[in-house]
Amino acid sequence: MSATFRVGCTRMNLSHVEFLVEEALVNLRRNGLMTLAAIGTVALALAVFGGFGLILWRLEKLANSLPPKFAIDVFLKDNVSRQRAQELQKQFEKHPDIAQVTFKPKEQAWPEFQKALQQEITAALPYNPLPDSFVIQVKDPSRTGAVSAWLRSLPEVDAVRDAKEEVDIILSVATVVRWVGIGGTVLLLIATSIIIYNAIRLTVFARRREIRIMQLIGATSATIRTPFVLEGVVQGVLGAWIACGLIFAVSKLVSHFVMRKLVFIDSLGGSPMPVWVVFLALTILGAAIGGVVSTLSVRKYLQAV
Amino acid sequence: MIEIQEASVTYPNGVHALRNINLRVEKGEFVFLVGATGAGKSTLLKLITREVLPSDGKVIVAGRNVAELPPHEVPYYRRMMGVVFQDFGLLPNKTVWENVAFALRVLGLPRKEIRKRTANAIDLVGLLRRCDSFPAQLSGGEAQRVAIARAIANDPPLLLADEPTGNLDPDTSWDIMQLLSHINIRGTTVLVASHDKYVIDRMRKRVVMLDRGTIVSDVPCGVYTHEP
Repeated sequence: MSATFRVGCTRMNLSHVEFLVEEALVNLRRNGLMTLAAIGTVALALAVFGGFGLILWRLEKLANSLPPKFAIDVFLKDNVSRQRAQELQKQFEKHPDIAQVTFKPKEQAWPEFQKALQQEITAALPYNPLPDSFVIQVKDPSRTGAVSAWLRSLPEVDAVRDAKEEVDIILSVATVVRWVGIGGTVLLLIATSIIIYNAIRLTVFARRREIRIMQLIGATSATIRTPFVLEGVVQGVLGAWIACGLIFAVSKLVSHFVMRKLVFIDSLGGSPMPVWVVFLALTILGAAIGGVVSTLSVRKYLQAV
Repeated sequence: MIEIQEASVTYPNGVHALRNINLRVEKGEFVFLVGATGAGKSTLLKLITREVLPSDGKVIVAGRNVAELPPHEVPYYRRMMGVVFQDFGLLPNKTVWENVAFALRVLGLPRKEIRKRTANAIDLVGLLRRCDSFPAQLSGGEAQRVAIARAIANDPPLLLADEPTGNLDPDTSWDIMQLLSHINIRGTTVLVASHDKYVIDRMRKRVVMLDRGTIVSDVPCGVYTHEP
């Protein structure tokens, strides 16, 4: 009699895999409303999560792109020769904290100054009052103060103009944005997972009797679980794709109506995040959350009998 | 086929569903389990399907101690029995054909074999013309026939039915019982939990009566004599 314990195939053959996939697809179609509700929930949750991520990414880019725009202006004393200026440039270029050095001779600075101010005021001056200068960019914005102090200590240097205070403010804002972003992303990811867990758990709850029947028929846990997990993955992926559509539609609208008026911010924002990165990230996230929460939801009922 | 020795079941809420049950069912027998609601009929069937484990005693089916089965063996153990419920237990999103074929597909049988066995089982219960109907489109009697077809599709040596006629009118109940009797004659051991006096009295099969968790009588060719 004990021979009857092993009825049917125990290993996964191709037709069994086909059966499991077919089960998942048929269930998705025939549980139409529940499927739509779950996909809709996943889409909204991931759209909020993805939208938040996109805004953070842009803010971080913006914060990182600002400091280099605040260069250090170094004005030389009048008696410094051009040869000495060239030597100084080489010295600056060797400095470990300095990224770029540009020499701005007084002849070049004067027309720019005249152009920036009103011609009438500068026209009255009989000579070029500007000194030769350097425009220096540091590698790490947080080293601005140290580099400025070193430059001031040089005997050839008359004056140094930096934007240390502005740079410090921007750097601290960037740090806050980064940590708030990481904290917010983690919290939102947890909230998103809980919402999706509830949506998919409802679809499993509605079919808990099916699970008991399958168990009494002699279906193995893997056979019962697999279609549910596949359904969860499909729901997660479809929801992610709808979320991508929502995010791109909203970001298009925002850049059309808002960003155009804020040319300054837009020009600082750098290139937008590539479309495929968002698409891929949300698809993987949707599939992973869908698969994991279905597994957890079914497990509860698999243990029941 | 089935041997229950001194088995007791106490649920976590403290209810003693079964106390010191001793029951032996031979291969090919037809047995009615009778008794009032709460007498322990369903729990006794669940001991056999291993949905419930005995708190005490032993349940031996086909030579194996059911309580000692490792969890991964349980699905294979259950394939040797068909189960029929009072509320039919059909999968609502599957047609008649799919419901019956499902029991065979989970076993991983080849498609050709599944088609042959599904057709045979549905033919046996006389519902070939309703193959494409969904459970909601069937009458109670038809739904129970589909459930029986599913239970026997795999040709299991044991068939368990929990109040299979509980939702049916007397004529349909009699038809269903005739069907179970027919399956029994083909060699399947059949256990039916029921309190359908009309049907039990006419069948003249072995009747095991339960009362508050204990067996109070066990009569071959018996009748339903329960008195509250």
